[in-house]
Amino acid sequence: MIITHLKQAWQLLRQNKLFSGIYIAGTALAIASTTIFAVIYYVKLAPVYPEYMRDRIVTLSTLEYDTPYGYKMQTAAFSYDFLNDFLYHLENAEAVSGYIGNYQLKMLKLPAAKDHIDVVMHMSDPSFFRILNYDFIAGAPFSQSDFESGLHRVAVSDRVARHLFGDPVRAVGETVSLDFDEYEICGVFREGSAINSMSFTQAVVPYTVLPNYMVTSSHAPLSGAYKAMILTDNLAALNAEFAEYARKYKTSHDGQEINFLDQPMTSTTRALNPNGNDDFDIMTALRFNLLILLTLLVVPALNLSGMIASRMDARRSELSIRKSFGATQGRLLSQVLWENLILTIVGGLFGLVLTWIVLSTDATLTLSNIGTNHSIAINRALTVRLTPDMMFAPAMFGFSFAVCVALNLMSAIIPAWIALRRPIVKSLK
Amino acid sequence: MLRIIIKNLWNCRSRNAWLFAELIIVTVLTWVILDPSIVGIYDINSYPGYDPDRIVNIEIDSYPPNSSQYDDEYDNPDKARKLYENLISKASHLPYVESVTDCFAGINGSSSMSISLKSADSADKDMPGLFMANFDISTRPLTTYGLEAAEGSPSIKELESRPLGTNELIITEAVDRAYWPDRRGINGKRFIDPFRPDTAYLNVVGIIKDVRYKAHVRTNALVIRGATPTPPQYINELTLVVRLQEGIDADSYFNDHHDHITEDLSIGNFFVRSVKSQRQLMEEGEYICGITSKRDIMLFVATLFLLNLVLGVTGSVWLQTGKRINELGVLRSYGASRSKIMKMLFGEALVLASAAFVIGEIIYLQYAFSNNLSEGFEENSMYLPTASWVNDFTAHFAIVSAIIYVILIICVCIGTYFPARHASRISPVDALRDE
Amino acid sequence: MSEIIKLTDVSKIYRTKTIETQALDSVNLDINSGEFVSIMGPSGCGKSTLLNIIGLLDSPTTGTVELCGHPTAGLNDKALARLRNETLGFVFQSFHLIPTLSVLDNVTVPLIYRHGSHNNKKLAIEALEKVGLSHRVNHMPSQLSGGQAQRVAIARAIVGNPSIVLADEPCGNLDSKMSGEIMDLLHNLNREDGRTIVMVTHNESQAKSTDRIIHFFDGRRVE
Repeated sequence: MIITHLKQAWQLLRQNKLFSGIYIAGTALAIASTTIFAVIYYVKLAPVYPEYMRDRIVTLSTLEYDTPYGYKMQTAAFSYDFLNDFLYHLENAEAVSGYIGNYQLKMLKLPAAKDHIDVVMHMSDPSFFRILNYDFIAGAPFSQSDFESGLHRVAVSDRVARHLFGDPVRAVGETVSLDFDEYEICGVFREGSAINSMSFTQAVVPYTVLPNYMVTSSHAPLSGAYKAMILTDNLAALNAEFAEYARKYKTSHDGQEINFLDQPMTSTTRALNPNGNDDFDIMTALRFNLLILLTLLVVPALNLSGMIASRMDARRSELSIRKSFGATQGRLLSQVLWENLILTIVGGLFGLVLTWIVLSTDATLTLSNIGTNHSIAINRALTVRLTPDMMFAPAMFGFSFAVCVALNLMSAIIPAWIALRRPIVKSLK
Repeated sequence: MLRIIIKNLWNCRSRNAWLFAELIIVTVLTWVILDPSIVGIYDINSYPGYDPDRIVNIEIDSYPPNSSQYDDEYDNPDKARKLYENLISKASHLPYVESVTDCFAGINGSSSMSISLKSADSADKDMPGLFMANFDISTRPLTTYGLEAAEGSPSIKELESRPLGTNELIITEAVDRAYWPDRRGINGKRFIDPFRPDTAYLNVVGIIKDVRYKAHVRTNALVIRGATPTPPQYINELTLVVRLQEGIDADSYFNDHHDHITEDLSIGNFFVRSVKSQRQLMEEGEYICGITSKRDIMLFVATLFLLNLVLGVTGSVWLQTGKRINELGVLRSYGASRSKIMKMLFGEALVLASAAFVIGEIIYLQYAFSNNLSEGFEENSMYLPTASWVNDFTAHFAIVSAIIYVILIICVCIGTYFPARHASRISPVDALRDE
Repeated sequence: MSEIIKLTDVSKIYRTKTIETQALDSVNLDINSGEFVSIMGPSGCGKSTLLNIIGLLDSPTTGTVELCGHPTAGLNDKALARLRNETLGFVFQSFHLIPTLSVLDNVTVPLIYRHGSHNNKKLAIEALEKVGLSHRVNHMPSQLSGGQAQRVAIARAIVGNPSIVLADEPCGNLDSKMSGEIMDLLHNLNREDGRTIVMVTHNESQAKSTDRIIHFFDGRRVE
């Protein structure tokens, strides 16, 4: 019987080209919009390159603390002392990486060249590559001894190496100038997608190259330039360590308090609550996002319902004939839903293609900022593209199909139900 | 014809129900999406109190000490001072430059401070926030930005003729009106110093015409405090704000004079990191605050909804005119011309859309009464308000309603055009045979 | 001969907000198995309403309907559908072929809804052979003439081997030649297969060729 439905759906498509075209276009738009939305969130939430251990990575940056001068200070990054005295000694952390954030693009060029390219640079420690699974295609990251000695070593991305040297492998051992400071390339890694703003980088150097990397202001002892990524299997115990630190700080600093502002932050929280709102609740966030998804489906569903209702009008006599030959209400409803599912799936396929087209453009940068109150300035200069494992994730296909089914049900069930309730005789004239 | 249109629509109300429901929902959703976008677009395009198209920002940075290009000769304070003065001089001699200022936290710059001040006259009155900028007035930032003195204030030349003390403020007219609504001029006007509330005051020494410190924040509330100049030997990075001569395009200035700027200003340990027009800075500021993304995403979603609407209208009208071929054939046989048929079909679509729009408006108005209309994407309510239609409920509602109505009608017209044209071209004979 | 269709005191009233129309008024009717019966009467006399009630497409306001000895009152939608599928075949004036299905698929429609039905394709081809259209199995309805379309409709009506065929003005949209072919077909089905046929018609000569004519006027049976 399903074969008959398929045959009939194909005939419906051929005989009503305009209706079918509009139906498919409407479905394609709905599938594309929801799938784009889903892909962006998938990329923010699922383990993707190089954040394969995303579910075990937490981050820390902003602090709020009382100063000796009677006012509260909120800092976007913390001092070396805080990193070195506390974070590097966390007992419940498998690895801790301190890094200086990528606020500004750096000018990278060959030492003798006039022209440069602008790159995203991180200044970090060897744990950076332990926590983020960057795939080295040549050479290796800078070592612990490089780091301790403050040697000018840089690991660059394959795109940068290819731009400068043609063959990325040839880049290892060569010298480049980063903001007029010279570095030796120690390794070349496969570049990730700029959509992952925390981990995206094109050049990584040890922060110990800075002559004043340890300097902390006495007026603002916790403020500085550092942020941290922490790899942990026991977040509860880690949070307890932070709470204990806050308690000890208060005792040793005449009652001055330190507030970690609900950090360290998990990647899920970072994805769903990038603005760090105090009253964040994951269920509320998920409900909100589900609401957006539904809204993106409701208007197209209404659209399609209207067209299906009109189409049902035209098929009234057919449905009545089937009823007169013994079809029950349930069988006819199922027939209509199956036929529409065929159209919906065709529309869904077009929608997927449209999704890939949109995500291959600069629109990805804008879309990656869904839900945020702040964007990173340098991202405007970058080409934000998704990697193939993001664009063609199996979960995405599954999601799109589920949306097709949902859309089909939402749009077809009510008009079909209404049409089938009409008495047979009224349609058989 | 209107009577016939309304009768037709009423008689076929069950057929039109879906489209009607969709039009209502799209009206409400378009409000939700477009209200902040319209306000945001208005904000960014409003006159900011100065001419941003003549301003260029040149970011200067220094070679790091361990760079092979670093010259430690400039560790010497005298040489550093001379280098700095040379830099400023060279910048002022760049092509088409009228004025140059070293101004790190300039208008639309990367850093800003918001503060709440109380006047000495009414210390118990809480006031909304305003921006505080720290300018080294000796570098003539007011001239470079092209700001003007307000009535009752010393002139810009007079204000820039002496250093601005750290206990002195130049304020905008918006701040003056808010704190001293009944008096003009600067005499006796002062604020309580928020950092030393028991002991010190900030005296108003000048008033300038309204200027918007951040392009995307709808307030002209700005106070300028004196900044202590940094000793040149400690200056590693600075921003030169350059005022170009009239008629020169700030956006293409760097490309047009790239080599000249880069070579002339790369002196000593300084190099040019970037050159941005003031408009680019304004856009960047908008981007960093997430406004650009939010607006673009909302416009993307609105476009989706409206495309769906166009498709829905096309589909529905086409299917329905298909069923009414007979009726249209009768009308044609009684003398209705093609254009009359089209007008009738357009009329039906427009009446349906207008009725749905009214219902959608009523629904959204209930929401707006309790939650207020949009203030844009930024939290403008934190700051001293600026008089505009955005803050007037009636004007705001009317303007955005008009925009949404026009968009809705355009979509409905596009969706109706092809089916109406097709239906109007069928010959009466064919239409009447089609039973 | 046993009664295959029995109507007892059947009335049908259509009510709207303002108007009440009595389409049938206390109709008693017995039709025996294997009979070919015509129902005649002027327009609006209730013939089609009667056929719809016999065919379980509509329900009487009062009275009872029995088919093959089974009372139909109180049966739910599923039971009625099953009874229609197994006992009845319909032929309509406007053919009512499904435009998006081929001739073969149109004829198969009743078999789709029959429980435990096998060899649907074979049965459909046999039915089409009976009506002389087995060479058009893959055609679409739009490719058939009026007479051919009605023959396909008849094949569809008999494919499930129903005991009763109800035909509502089967020749109403056909010219005289085609009408003759259709009537011959119906007579063959009645004579050779022993099917009970109830036919509504305006045409007196067609009615006279049947076993019995029942006259209706203003919703009542007239003798």
